[in-house]
Amino acid sequence: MPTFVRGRDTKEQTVERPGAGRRDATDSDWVPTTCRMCLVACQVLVRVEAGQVVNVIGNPDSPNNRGRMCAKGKSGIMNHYNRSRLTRPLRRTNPEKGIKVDPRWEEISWDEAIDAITAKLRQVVEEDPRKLYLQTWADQDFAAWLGALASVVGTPYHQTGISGTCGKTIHSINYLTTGGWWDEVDFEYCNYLIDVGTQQGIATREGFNHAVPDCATARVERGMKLVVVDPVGNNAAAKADEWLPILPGTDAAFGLGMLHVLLNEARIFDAEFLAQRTNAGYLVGSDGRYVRDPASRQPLLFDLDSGTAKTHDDASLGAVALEGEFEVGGQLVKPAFQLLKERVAEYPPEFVEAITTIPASRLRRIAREFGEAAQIGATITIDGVELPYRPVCLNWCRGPQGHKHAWHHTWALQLVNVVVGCINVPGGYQSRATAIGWPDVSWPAVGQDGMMVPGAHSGKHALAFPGRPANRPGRLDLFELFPVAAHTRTFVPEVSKDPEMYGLDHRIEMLIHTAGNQIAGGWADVNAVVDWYKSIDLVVGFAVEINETHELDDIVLPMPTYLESNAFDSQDAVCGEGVAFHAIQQQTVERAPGVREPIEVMMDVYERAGILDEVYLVMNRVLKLKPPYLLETGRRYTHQEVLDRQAKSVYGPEFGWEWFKEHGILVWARGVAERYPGRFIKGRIPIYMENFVDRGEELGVVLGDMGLTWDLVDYDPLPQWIACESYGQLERGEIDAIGVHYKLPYIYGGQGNANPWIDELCEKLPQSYGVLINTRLAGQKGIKDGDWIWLESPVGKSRLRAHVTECVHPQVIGIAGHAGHWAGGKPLSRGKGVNFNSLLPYGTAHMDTISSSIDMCAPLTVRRSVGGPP
Amino acid sequence: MTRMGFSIDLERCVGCQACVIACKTENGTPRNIHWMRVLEKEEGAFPDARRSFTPVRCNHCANPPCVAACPTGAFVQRADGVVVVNESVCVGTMACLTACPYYVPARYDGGDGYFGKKLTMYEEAKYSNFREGTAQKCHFCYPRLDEGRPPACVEACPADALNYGDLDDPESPINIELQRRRHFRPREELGTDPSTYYLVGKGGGPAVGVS
Repeated sequence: MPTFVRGRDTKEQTVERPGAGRRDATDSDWVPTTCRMCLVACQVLVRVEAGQVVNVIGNPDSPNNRGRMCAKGKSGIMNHYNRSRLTRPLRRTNPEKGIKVDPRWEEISWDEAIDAITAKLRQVVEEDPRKLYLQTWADQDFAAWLGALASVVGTPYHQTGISGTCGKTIHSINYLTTGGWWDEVDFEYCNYLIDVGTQQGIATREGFNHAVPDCATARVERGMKLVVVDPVGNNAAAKADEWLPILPGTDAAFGLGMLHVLLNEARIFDAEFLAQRTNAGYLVGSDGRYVRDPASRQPLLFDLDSGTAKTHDDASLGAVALEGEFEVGGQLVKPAFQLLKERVAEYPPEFVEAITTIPASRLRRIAREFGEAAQIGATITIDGVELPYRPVCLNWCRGPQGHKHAWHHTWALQLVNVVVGCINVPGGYQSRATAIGWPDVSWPAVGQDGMMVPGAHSGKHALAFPGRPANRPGRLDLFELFPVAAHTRTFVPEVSKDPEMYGLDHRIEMLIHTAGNQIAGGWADVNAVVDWYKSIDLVVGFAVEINETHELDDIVLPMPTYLESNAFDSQDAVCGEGVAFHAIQQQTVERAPGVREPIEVMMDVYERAGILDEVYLVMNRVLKLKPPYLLETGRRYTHQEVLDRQAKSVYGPEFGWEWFKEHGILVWARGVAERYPGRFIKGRIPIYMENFVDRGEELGVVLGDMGLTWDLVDYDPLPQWIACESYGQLERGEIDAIGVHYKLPYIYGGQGNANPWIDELCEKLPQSYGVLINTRLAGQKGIKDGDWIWLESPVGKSRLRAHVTECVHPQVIGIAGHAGHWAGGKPLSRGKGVNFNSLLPYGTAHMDTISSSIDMCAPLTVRRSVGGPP
Repeated sequence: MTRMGFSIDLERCVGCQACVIACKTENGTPRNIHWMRVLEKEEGAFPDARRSFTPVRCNHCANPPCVAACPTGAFVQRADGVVVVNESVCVGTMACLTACPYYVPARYDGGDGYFGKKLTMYEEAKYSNFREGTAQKCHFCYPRLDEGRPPACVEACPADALNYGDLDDPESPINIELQRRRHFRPREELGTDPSTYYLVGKGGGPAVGVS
């Protein structure tokens, strides 16, 4: 039933509900809502009979999952009916906090809880609002309402992500090179995909339920080649045409080797794209900086047609020199691309083989295959618009990012995409939310030096270009010492040990967090995180069940399950697809008695603290409310009243909350430029991070003033490979293996295996609670399949079941999922598997100087354990 | 005539186990009972080693040995070929398991729910369909088939690796798929005439083994 929304050709979704209609009987219903078993947020239809949830299926009308569901989503019913659910506010009575230390909870009333929270909030706000730290996760609506507190009271600490490592270089490099915020592969056209340290299209990551089927069609029907570069022979490797086991922490060398073969041996690169859409032709002087026009201060390129240097915005600019050396203004200068070529020439495949353990001949062949498959110069016509056709993608994610030199690993890999020009065009590497045309408008623009700046959608995300001048830190996350990082909260537990060492005069006294598991899943070395939590006077957590983090809370507040709560969320679109959509989450059944809506709880706190009106002013802006739907001072609203104002502000009076509750999702068409914005973006993409030169120098001065000696070798405009500490330890024989973490498709995101159906699966599949050890290493250590083994790192020690296999690199221990729980509130998963973070060293030495990403290589010794389970 | 067939694309399957849990959600099978399973295997030597995934369930044979072996007549073959267990007749002799060359039927012996003795409201509703001491196996989601809907595993499968349809209709999607793809049936040589087809290989290779 097509209808028109404000002149746009919009398909009104008539939800196809199985069996009879939506309300086929007075006591039964199929309710359209959104799954929250992980952050992907697929759309589902929930079967409710007599007030109980009895089934959940995918909503076929959602472009996000098209009726499909994963194992975790399907198991959501058991999370909802979790026996260990919390339904009353709790307060600790045991002043001693620690791992496995009983908090000795006492039940308190909502009134008591809210009073205690308000009192502490008033105190820290009066003394110094920087003593307040907020941690939010997943639920955008609640994150906004809790996050508003940061703006209102003036604390810089609003951590939006469970893990301190979330999106460290992933979002930065996406914004830098695509203008969007995270990547997808254009499976509709892609012919050659290399997955590096990710299982894109097979086993994990955002968009699982649309990426997996599209990838399967590409693989099976169109013969798309899939190459998986990974230390672990995971699900993606199982489906790959080729699995290239790589030594962890050597991804940059692999990327640089690919670039060397492409640029110097095969000479395959998209010269037109590089000259017109990147800074490849920008001339660089001997000091590493651009050569600029003396008058306009704009960067110069060398125009081969006129034999002169011209600015990037000169209309008469002809053929741009990408290679060679030129004399400009009395100095010898080179195009940035020439410098990249020279840098990658330091990484011939034979050298890369010695680093990565990937045979030179295979690297050389794959690089050439990839380059040829890119079909540089080819075009495709979609809806009457001619676009470049680059059906290749090198996809990378959390694997290469989890290293001491995270920036350089991921930057080297991304440049493989940039040099073949496969960014945001059919068949290539695409980003979500690069270009949004309706109802919000967000387009990348041209910024400083002609470079691309992402659109309004990037919001508060700090960008790597142009970055910020370094300064003496005023924050516990040392944000001022990371002039090009997106966020640096990885440092908070470290700096909190001794703030004065960095000249800081405050510490965190109050922390409020949503239902994440920051202790088990954030940062690294769990003891370091626990020490920080212990140092905080009042920790308040919202909880469905008591997890490891809540065991360190002072007050725990029960919250609804995802089947009991509402959220408006935001518009979204799958990369390359012809539609965008907005789906909501709605309450399907009555809330468990005693449980309150967290947003309304926080409104109570704000009201008692006397700041509710100020929160409304912030929320009017954050929620993009428009008259007559603005929140008015002096009034109280229910959450659903706010949701109605949100919906009507964005989509007009006919699309209020009731409309969304009935339909679940609104879908509308979008044009070619939104789907494939690549060549419609005027700003240029960097292949050379010129701003790193200045940012690094400025940082050096500040560090010198502070008496800190940090190695700033990473502030290099071009990618290089620098080893993680564990690489040297392995080479010197000090450790047996590097422990790496990988994902299983049935355990994605933190809420995993406390669910009895998922736990039952994990008990049957040996890699879930066991660890992967290669037959060769197992043989050396006298370990047989199923033996109990000890894994020991400098910070932790775990006893677990060995799964002896050929499907892992011989110098690697593969640790899956999110196991090793110890919290009393998670009885089903307690004592099973290993908590990976417990084995990871933590501290400044283990964090990236550019992005503050934590090194996720766990240095391990391995030995057989005598006896049975611990 | 109608004969319901089922295809499992081993190339598309990514081993995500969604079908296993989708079956649980739909049918509410008790603890330790899985009508749908995905077997995993490892093959080859490093670095050419890899895992493989094989979804398995009742093959709904045209000549079902379980139906022949069942002494109480609890195993019934519907007109559309779907083999179902009539739990009110089954007394749990498990002659079906002895007869089944695929080791499919399992016996439900009762026991605790997923959170212990006390059942959740969902479990209360679902387990009332299960009688202690009866044979358990996939029933092809026949209540869904009768409404014209796909089995829950097919509907959920994120990889579109599972498909179903009428084998007696030459135009059915499953027959078109079988014309296009290489395939085999599990232990066809035993003469059970299983209605499950495993699709292998990429693209539309020559059709083989169509019965």
